Amino acid sequence: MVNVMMKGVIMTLAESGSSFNHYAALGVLLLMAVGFGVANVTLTTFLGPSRKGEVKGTVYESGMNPIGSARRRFNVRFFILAMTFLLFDVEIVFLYPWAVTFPSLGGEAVDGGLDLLFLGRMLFFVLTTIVAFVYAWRKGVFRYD
Amino acid sequence: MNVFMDKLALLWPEVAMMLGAVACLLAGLSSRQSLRKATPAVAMLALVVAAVLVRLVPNAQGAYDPGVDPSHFLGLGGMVPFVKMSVLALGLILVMVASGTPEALRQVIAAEAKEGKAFEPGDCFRGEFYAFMLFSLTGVMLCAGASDLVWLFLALELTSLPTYVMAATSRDKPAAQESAVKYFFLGAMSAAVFLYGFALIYTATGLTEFGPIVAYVEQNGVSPMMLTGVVLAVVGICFKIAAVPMHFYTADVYEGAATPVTAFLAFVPKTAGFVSLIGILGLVGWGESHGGTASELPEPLVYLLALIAVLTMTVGNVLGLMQQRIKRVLAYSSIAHSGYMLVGLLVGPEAVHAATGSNTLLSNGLAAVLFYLVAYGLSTVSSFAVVACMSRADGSEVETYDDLAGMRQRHPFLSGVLLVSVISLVGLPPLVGFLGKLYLIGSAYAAASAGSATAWVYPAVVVAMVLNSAISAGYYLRIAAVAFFGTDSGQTVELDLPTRRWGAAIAAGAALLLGGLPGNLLVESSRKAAEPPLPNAVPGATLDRQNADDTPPRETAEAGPASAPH
Amino acid sequence: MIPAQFFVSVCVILVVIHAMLGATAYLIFLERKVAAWAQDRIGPNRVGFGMLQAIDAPLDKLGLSWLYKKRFGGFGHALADGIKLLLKEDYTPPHVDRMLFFLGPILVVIPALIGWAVVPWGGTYVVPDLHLFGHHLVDGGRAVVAVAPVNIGVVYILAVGSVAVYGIVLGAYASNNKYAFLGGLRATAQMLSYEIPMGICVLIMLLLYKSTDAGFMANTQASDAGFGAWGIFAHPLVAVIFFVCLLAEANRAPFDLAEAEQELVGGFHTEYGSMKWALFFLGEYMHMITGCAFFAILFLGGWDMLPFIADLPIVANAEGGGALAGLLVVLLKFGVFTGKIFFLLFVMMWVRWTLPRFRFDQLMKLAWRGMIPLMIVMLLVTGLMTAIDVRYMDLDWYWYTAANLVIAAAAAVIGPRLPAGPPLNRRVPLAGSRYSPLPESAGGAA
Repeated sequence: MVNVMMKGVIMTLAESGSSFNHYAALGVLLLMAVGFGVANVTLTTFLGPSRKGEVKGTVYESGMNPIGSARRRFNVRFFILAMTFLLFDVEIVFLYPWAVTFPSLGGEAVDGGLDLLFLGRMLFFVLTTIVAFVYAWRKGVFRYD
Repeated sequence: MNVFMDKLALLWPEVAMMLGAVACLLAGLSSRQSLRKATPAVAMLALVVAAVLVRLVPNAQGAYDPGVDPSHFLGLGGMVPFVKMSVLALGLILVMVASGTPEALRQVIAAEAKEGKAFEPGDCFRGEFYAFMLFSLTGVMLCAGASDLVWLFLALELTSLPTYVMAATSRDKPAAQESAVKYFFLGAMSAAVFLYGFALIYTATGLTEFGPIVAYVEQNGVSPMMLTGVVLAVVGICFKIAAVPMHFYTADVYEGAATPVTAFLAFVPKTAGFVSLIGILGLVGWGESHGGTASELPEPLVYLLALIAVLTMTVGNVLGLMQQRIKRVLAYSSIAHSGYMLVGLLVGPEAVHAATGSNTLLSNGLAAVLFYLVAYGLSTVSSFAVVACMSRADGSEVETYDDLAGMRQRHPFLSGVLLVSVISLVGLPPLVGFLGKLYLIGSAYAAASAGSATAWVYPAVVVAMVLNSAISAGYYLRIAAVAFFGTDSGQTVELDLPTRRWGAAIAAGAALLLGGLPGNLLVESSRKAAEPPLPNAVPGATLDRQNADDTPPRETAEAGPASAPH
Repeated sequence: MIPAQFFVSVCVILVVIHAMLGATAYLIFLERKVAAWAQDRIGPNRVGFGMLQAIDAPLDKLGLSWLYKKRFGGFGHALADGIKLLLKEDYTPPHVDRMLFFLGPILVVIPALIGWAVVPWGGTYVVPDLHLFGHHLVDGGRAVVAVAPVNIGVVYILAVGSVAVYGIVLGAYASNNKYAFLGGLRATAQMLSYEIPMGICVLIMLLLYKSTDAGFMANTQASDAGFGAWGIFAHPLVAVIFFVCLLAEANRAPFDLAEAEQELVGGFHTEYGSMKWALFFLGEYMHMITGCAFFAILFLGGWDMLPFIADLPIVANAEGGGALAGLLVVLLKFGVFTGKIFFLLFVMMWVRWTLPRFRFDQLMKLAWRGMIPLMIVMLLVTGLMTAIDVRYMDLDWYWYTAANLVIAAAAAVIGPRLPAGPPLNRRVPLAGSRYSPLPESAGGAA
């Protein structure tokens, strides 16, 4: 019975269009991954013993009595790091399509110097990042001591 | 080479400004003190280079030349170079006035004490201050060139975001931080409002480019959703120009920031706001000007703008009358001036009312706004600069009327500058402020005689404007009277900042000079700038201007977007 | 009818997901063995079938009681670990944010389980028409031996790999424990920092292969018609840096600061136990496997057997030999791919038991002041070389090798001469400081 149902699901996925197939398999994999994660977390909650106690429930700090909560403000460097990361990561993501298209261009003979224009754009784009990088370096963003 | 490069060529002034800003950032980080001290000079150099480039590049004027490919046209037409030039000129004065502001901060002084390798660039933010000024000015220039809603939004944000930081870091006091936080959150809220307006405009038309939107509106009329979008955009941008529903922050923010930064806030975001308003309002009105069929703004918008204008000038002047602190007085005065300028916006371009055949020199509302922006900028910047040139004996900023008392004896030069700028703000004859007001009132008068359904609004607004000018004279002249006839309190000293002093003097001198014959040249150029009704100057519409004589309007509207390669 | 690609994809899922889960358990065992090897001891060798005795398995009745004595080199350890983890008490402390506390391990394990979806395990396979009980079940046709041969390819691996950090951060934040919080902060900072040089490395390799499709990359490296050499020969420097980034992204030593047990107890999983903890562990090892597969695709030719030579004749002609021969070739390629992955995993473990852990500031400096500028320069150079390649002359792979070596040499010369900035964190000599004063005669230095 389950097999029939599974087969139905798979057939529906498979027949929903040939271009969708790749992602259909990915969907199956994703379902399995989610199922694996959820099943494990659920199973382990029910299996095994369960004992509670006041001391057992305290925050683990190597045997010391905990002082205060862990939800506190932390160093601003991590925020700056996150912003710098965004800058660079977005930059890299923008460059992926470029990196795929650019080497396939044919030079002046084929498409009238589009390759140099592409190169120029990329150089300008990377240059802006380099300026940002030098600025951040001088400002001490990358000094983690 | 290709369309991309040609479009880029129109933006060389902005590119130069950006490069200048980057140079400022990097100069501020240098380990050589002489280079760090040269940061304001770098900023001024960038402004001069950008101004030269504005003159040199084949700017939007080419769009009126049928020989030029109309697809290279950017934004608001002939207005663009005018706005760019005036922003650059005022920006030069503002940088002069602002020089010395970051250097007065305790943190920067402490960082500057270390020389050579010991210098810690992370502690010093002189470069950022000037770079942010340039970024913000670039934002205004881009606002003027905007031909797309997305572009306009980004340009407005580029104008505003640096000003928040400038307000926060300009002084050592908690008041500066408080003002910056207030400014930032309200600014973010206003950005949300006008962005929502833009989104509704997009929803109503499915377009973001100005030209196609205008063509769409001419064809299909203004739908309620479109109108809602425009109203939201106008209300949101009212924050930038400090007009009534969004004016509450003004006095607090202006008071909290350092005075040179206040001068910056009083001119730059306001200019960006008005330029954007011209673009946004042009989407729903002022079209089809050729052939004598004037189309005003939609009626609800006319009433809304008139209401905002009257309320803004009244609130600004009445509250300004009650203030005791100079910066708050000037803040409310800046609100009031926004009200005056909204009148010009209400009138719209000359061509709308051209049918009456009235005096053309005094009938173009947008030209009046453009001119008034310069006039107001010069006067208000010089008055703020005078306040910034002095400090109390204990080093704190000049705040009250009492601090100004008897200025004439102690600082004769500064008091002269203050007198000129204040009289220009009142709008008395020999000065540029008078010319500006005359021009605004003239355009409203021309609109009143046009005989449209909403014509009764204009006389009412003019009456409000004249009454308000009388009220405003109360506090402006009080400043002058205190400075000249008050008894010397002996509290103030003049700061040793020659650049700032000269900045104030140049602004006041320009206000004086432009009140006379050269002013007419400026009037003429602003009139020329706003000459062709703006939205109609967009690519598609430029073409229908040419064949308007022999084609019925409906068809030209359809031909518009098709003939414009997008 | 099931299309051929979908059929192959499902087969790959079913095979690889089990192989990976099993391999993970035994990777832990392998890790302990490698550790023992590195430290010159025997390592785990106790648990064999004897553990079945503990759970009263009915081996006696089957006459297999002699099995109890066999240890099989300790192969039962992994199994015993798994059973232990599942049956342990799963304690959820009362001070945690329960929702996020449960979500953390799940979010770690999901990207780990789907990250390898675009890996081309064994080239392509021509699937024959399959019939089952008279039903026409599978359409024949050519299919790539991968779960999802999508054209975004390696970008998918990068994207999914970077999602894993959310699980760690959520788990750490939900724990409401200072150790976990610090561990989570460190893990985030580290993963973010090393993602940038990693992304640029991928970018450089994309310039070389002109595609993001993983299968296409392997083909390019395998065939003479394409590039002709493995990526590691063209870009040795990039390969080294990419490997270092992989170590950091997988939280492996010497970059395992997030769970530095000497200072942070367990780091981000201090408050976790039982299977929830095991999921973090599983995620880490599966990330290693995916990362090594990624490395093999970019630099080691994927399923390609030998560099510089085209496929062996028998492999190249396999498609003519029918479905079974094709299957054998696929299995062979799969084996080669797996062999490469296991070699890389072994190198990772070797590194772990050889190098000491970085300090946090060293870790960040290595990324931000070392690898990122180096890789930006490398990107610019490769971009220019690609432009030359496109426009003027064809550049062979050894030109890129030369560029790599020159840049590596230049970095070695210039690096130490870069301005270091004033030392903020001065070293305090322990002996002679105000905490342990020395007598004057001792000289004050120890």
